[in-house]
Amino acid sequence: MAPVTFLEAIRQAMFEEMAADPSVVLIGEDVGVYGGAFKTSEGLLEKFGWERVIDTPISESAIIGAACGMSYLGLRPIAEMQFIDFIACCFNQLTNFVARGHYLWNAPAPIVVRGPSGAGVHGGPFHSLSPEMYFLHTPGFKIVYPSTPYDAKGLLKASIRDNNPVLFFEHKFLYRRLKEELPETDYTVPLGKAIVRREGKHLTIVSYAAMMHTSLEAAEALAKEGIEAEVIDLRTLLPLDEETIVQSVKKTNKCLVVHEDTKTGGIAGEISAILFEKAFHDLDGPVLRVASLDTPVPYAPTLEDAFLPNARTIFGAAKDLARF
Amino acid sequence: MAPMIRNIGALLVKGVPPRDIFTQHMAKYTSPTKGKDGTSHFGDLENLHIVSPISMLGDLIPVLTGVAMAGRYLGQKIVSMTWIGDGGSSTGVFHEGLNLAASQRAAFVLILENNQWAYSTPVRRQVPIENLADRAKAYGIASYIVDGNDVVAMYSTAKEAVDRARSGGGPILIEAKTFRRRGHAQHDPAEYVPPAQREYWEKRDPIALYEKFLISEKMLDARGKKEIEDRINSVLEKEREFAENSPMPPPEFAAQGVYCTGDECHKIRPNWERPIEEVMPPKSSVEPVWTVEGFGSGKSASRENAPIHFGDTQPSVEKPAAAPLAKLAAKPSVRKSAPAKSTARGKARR
Repeated sequence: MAPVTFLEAIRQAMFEEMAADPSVVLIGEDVGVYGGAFKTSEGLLEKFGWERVIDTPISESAIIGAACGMSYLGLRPIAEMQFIDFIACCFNQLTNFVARGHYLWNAPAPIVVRGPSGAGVHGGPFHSLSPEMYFLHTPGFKIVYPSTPYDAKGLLKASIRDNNPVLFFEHKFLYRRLKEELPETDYTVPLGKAIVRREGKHLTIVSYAAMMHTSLEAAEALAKEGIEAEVIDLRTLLPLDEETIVQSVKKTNKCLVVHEDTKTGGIAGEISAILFEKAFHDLDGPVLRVASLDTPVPYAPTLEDAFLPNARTIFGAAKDLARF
Repeated sequence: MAPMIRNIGALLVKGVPPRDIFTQHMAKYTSPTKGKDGTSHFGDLENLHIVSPISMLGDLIPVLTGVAMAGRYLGQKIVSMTWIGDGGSSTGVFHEGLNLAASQRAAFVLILENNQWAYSTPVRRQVPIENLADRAKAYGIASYIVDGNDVVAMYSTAKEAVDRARSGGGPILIEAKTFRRRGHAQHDPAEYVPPAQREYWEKRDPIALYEKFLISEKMLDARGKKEIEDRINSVLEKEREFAENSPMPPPEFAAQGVYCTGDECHKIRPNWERPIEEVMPPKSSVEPVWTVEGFGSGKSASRENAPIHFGDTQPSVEKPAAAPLAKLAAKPSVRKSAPAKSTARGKARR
């Protein structure tokens, strides 16, 4: 099989799940005739028809509400946000209604809400968001943020089959930049499991999505200076795979968390607290954070570059940490 | 069906035992939510097909639209129904939900209880229109206005709307004119309500009016009334006792149930009432069954506005409008708008 992009991996996951299970449907803005703003659903309408690939008005709350209602009759809707920034428009529908159903009244909502997220492509402040932390604080969701085409496909399939509402963030910077050969047979990647992308003994870098690749780049540079960094890709943010993080830090005794989300209230703070609770005696230095500036995502390339972490800033923080 | 907190009557009619309402209010472990939520915030998807309401108004409208869409997809002949108040009709999701329902021609009935007050704000200071049913025109859907305190009118209107929606007529909005006789909740003495208004509506107690109707139609007499009341009282007494003697939930229960753990927790399987082959390739590539005929004719839904000229579309040949509701037109307490005929589903013109 020829290697495929991240985009194609997403498309394949939806295509294969819809072909295998008639209860899977896709609903969103321009997902049908146009095939999605990023063409992630290209060809689905032709194959599966109007009843299963549903173009909607520009009404994010109605998309989520309808997807939830459909799931109550046993369907497994995939709801697309054209850009994940617009998930803010249906915040109430998601947090107050969808996420609470199972806990409050025994009504699971097996829906997947997916869409392109993240900065680095000069999308400006309303097309570049990393909104994961708005929802990480809401019990009831699972939150997935893959970094490779293989994971994107396997995790999306697992998300569709999961009985809980899953928020599936697709970093648009990775959409066309990565290519990977995928297995020809059906596979899934389990939710809630992180993976060690690079083994090392001097310090642990925890990251996810696009920043995982930047972290790997920094790790290569660190290796040239004799610092072997272990890089963990979280893959799922909720539930968080605490065990993999703690195990790694017990070995390396140092931890740096890197994310594209803004620093204050980002997941690095949460991971830092977990390490203080569960690995305090193993830590040889502070848990450091490399994250975006606490500002909206600016538009101009010079400003956006200054906003985002990069391999250089990660390298610098890791060097500081290695000195402990 | 998804009743709101003021629709306990709908719950009881649908078959919810009174003990569920008592135990919910008392936060007992025997309640439908086992103490995790109160009031009528509970549902029963499996048996009674009831979706739980939440406190945020309007959210149920797209959800029940989705229920109707899924029902059609699965080949089930269902109609979904929910309620909203005059207050809730000002939310954004009211518009988003009704517009999606209209564009999908969903078999969905929305009952808008116009009880004159959103907490302390009278309806005239919420909206600049007399009849909230007029909103339906903007969505190209049919509507009714009905005396919400007239049980018979309410029933026959709802019945007709449900039948109409079931036969593919698209969503229907029913505005029921009524009155909130007490405050917003127990703490609210509702002193802001003008005495004259209260007096007017107190004389129109729907239960008293219905009793009067039944007696005048010789369907009920004093003895029959007493029998019914005794039976209800005795049932309620037992149910109240059950609720009072029920335990509170154990504290450790608070940490349980955030996630569905899989098949052993919930088997999520749709109930197909059509051949699955119809929705699977190669047969699935079919035209939508809910396309509105005559779209692009240049006429508005109500046919009152100036014709719309798109320039690049040819006006289609107009078909005579069907009059499906002629028989109810004689009923004085019900007013109907013209059924929606076109423009409910549009080609993209942004």
